[in-house]
Amino acid sequence: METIIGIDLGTSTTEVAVIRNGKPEIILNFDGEKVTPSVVGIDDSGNILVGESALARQIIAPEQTVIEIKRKMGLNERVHLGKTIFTPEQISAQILSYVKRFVGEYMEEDITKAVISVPAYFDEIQRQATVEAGRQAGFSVERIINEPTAAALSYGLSHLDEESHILVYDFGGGTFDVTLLEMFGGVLEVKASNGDNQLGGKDFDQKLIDFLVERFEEKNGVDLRKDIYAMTRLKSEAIKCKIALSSNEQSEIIIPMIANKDGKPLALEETITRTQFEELISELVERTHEPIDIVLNDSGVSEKDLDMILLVGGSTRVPIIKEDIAQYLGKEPVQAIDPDYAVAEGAAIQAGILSGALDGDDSIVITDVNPYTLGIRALSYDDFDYMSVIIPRNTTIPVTKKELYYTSWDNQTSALIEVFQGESSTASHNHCLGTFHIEGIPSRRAGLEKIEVSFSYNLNGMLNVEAYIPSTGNAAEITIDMLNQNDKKEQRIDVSNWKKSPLAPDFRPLVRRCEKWLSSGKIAEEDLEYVQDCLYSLKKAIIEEDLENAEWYENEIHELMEE
Amino acid sequence: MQNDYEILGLNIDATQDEAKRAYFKLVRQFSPEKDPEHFQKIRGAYERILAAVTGKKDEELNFEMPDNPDAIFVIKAIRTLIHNEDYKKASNMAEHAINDFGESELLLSLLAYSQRMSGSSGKAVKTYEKLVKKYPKQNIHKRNLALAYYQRGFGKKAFTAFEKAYALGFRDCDFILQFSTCCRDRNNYSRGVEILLELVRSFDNTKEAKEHIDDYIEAYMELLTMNIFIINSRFDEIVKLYLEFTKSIGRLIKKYDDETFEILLAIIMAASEEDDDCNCINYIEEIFNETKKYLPQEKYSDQWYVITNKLIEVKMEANSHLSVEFQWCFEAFILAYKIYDDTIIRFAQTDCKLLIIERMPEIKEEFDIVKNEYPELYTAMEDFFKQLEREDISYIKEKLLKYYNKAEKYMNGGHYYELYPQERRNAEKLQWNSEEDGSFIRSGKKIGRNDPCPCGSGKKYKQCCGRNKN
Repeated sequence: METIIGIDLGTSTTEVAVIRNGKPEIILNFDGEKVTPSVVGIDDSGNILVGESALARQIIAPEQTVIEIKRKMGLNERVHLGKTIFTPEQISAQILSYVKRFVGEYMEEDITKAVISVPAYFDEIQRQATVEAGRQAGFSVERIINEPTAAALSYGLSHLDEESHILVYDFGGGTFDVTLLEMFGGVLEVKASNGDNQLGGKDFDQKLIDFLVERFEEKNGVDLRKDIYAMTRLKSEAIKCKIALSSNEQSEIIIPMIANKDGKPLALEETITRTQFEELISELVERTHEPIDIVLNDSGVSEKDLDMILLVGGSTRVPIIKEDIAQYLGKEPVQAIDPDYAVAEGAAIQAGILSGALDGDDSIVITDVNPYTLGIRALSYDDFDYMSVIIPRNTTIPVTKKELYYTSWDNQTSALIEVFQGESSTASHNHCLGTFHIEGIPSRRAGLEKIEVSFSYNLNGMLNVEAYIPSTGNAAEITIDMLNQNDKKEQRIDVSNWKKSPLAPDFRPLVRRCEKWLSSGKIAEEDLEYVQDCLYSLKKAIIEEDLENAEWYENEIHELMEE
Repeated sequence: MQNDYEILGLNIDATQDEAKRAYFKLVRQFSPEKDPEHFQKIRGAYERILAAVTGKKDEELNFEMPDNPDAIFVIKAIRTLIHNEDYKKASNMAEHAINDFGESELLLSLLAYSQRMSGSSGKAVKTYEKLVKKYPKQNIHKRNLALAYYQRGFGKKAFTAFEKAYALGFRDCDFILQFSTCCRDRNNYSRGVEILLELVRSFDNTKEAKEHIDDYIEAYMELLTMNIFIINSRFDEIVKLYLEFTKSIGRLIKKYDDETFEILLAIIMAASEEDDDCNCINYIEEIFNETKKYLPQEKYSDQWYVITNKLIEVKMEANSHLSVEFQWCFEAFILAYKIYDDTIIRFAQTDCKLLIIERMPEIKEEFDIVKNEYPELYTAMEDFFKQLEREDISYIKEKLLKYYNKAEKYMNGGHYYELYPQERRNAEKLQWNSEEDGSFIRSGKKIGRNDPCPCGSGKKYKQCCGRNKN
């Protein structure tokens, strides 16, 4: 049994956990700390620094430090670290390889498998970027788990016998997620997830910083925005002030010598009251309401039926957040789990389920949903760009769904299937995951020929789309692997017409034997996929009249069958 | 093949709660992690059973269950099909079931319902007539018969049947909405308004009512449409009720954003039909403010753009100093941008330009009113106004007309030919009609490359408008 660890790769901090004796345990980093700042820096001799040491250098060398990289994950942006340019994935990979090193020391073995958590509302591109970062750090990412789900798992493992509806309100440093779960009979069922992947505690800081900068400009006529050192100092003071305001009614910010005017040093001195701060962020707090509405609506659970509101994420320490939820949902939220470690622990529980470290009666079973709608582009009345939904968001996965489509014009013999992900009813506003053609539709009047499109979405984020023409049996498919975008499978062509090839007579007996063998159920499971692939490749070679390849696969199948 | 109940190891008469327990127990055994194939099977069965149990609780389908377990099984299957909106299959199955188990009230109702929903309205009418005859004490069949008549297109029969069922006390949303459209079809607008007002007045904050918000919204839409046609307008009352409605549904309105904006537009349009002494404008403003709470301007900028400008347009209409042409201009130059695509906008603007040219110079005096009172419109049209000052009007007109005549053939709603039909003939002369005479006839004298440009700029043609012509 190979150990798998759980990693909460957060916007501002990173935590790691593993299952020991059936319980999650937080792994300490080199400094003996449970929490590692998600900060990457470079020192003057070009060494990469991660964590506390990088954070400490941020004040003196902000341009050699990268923070909050999670917010840039999946964006086509580059970040500068000293003189070198990195992708967001590469920066995250630095954090993860630091994790890999300290975990290796703590566990006294090399750990290569991990479950990494992401905000539920991360889209596929952001998830892929996270997997890629893990891969670059030398981890095989066994699963991407949604943060609120992880938090609920960490709660659920110690409350297996409960029957309750739980709303997880996850307000982290960079993202906001709401997830509704039902705990019933030892099963944790995710009912719906929604959120805003560009809203977090960092935005509170920004509001405060903007306010302070404006006040400073009013008083002294100096714009601090251009001075990266001043801004770094201001930012760290603003964060301290925000934290202080969670327990105090007011907080004082004093930064001496933050700027110069006519040769004289200027200091920033400001007292912020909690009310002031709450006013500054009220618009941000307001933005949390819509995801809550959507989740309640999609899950069909009314606010009265909620048994518990679970707070996760550092930003839920801000008092106005708690007050706002209590007022909006008419129920007091609870901090039943440690908001800093719950996600890492939950990721470790998921890792334990995968590795087998957690099994048997005291284990927990979880069912998750897909957070975004999946469908294809289709013609609807006069709309050529209509998103025809096949798997609606918040459907329990794994799932397979079918829809019937019809030809749009007379004598249409092929169709382009374009797979989209997103909530807009205009397909092109959504994210295109892949496309393929289905050929061989009998030439008839528009609307007379059917095309059946089926979507299968599995736990590993693998989406298989198949198009099938019932009248002829022609089929074509595409597999979109949301976790391993790099080794994307080749696009498959329709091979059902292989018999028409002049090469077909030579191979027909073998194909038939192989097909029989496949349907007999006698193949070992680990070989099944390979045999299927070989058969597909053989048929493809026959259609393409590629004798050399066909013979190669013929041999391969022969050998497989003899084994 | 196993049926859904067998998959979950349940008896056919299992309750929702039993199904849930069985499902979760099985999930622990066949978790999505360990056995994704089987998990999907369990999940599918569970979802279908929930649908059948919690699905259609309608009075019309809730008659006594037979004792025969086979019949119970078939009935559950039909209900699942109805829940999945596969009415064609449901009605086939119900027909077979009636053959096998005889005509029970429940089976007949299921048959009639699925016939009605699948569009076989003729068959549905027959089945409901049979039900009404066989079970005269069941009022619900009379209600459904009215709906079926209406669907079949038997307007007169339907109206009488609707009135009868109404008298029996039926007031549900579906019924009233269909009844009201029947009234509208028969031009009995006052009756339609009356029953709809009663419906929207009945809205309260209960959960049931909230589940039918879309129906109430539809009712308001119908009300606003029909109210225009009745003599004693109830507009004030409708607006007041709608304000209350908006207030009480609160954030639920977010789900119905498109519909809400449609209603707001309809209210503005209807307000323009009202007399001047209508004091509803305050209510309308209050409705706007209430709506903005949950459908904020920042997020719905396009919709609010249309709404606020529509309101300006309505006020413009009431402005007696201004010709109607400017109202059309407002639509083409301001409103159209968020509603129509470029070709339609170009056509509408050309239409307006031509209308203004026709009424030059007297309309020119109104340019200043536009400038002072509707600066937005003035800015949008400024280029054209300046062009009118600068260039030769008949030349501008000819250019516009050429395009207009071509576009008008596939566009609707132009005012120009309607008001100036003789222009169509003029325009035809401008066009080259190869079928008629096979040659191109120029409408005026040929413009030489070195002649002064007809646009009046004073430059040579080749350096002005003719620059891009080889």
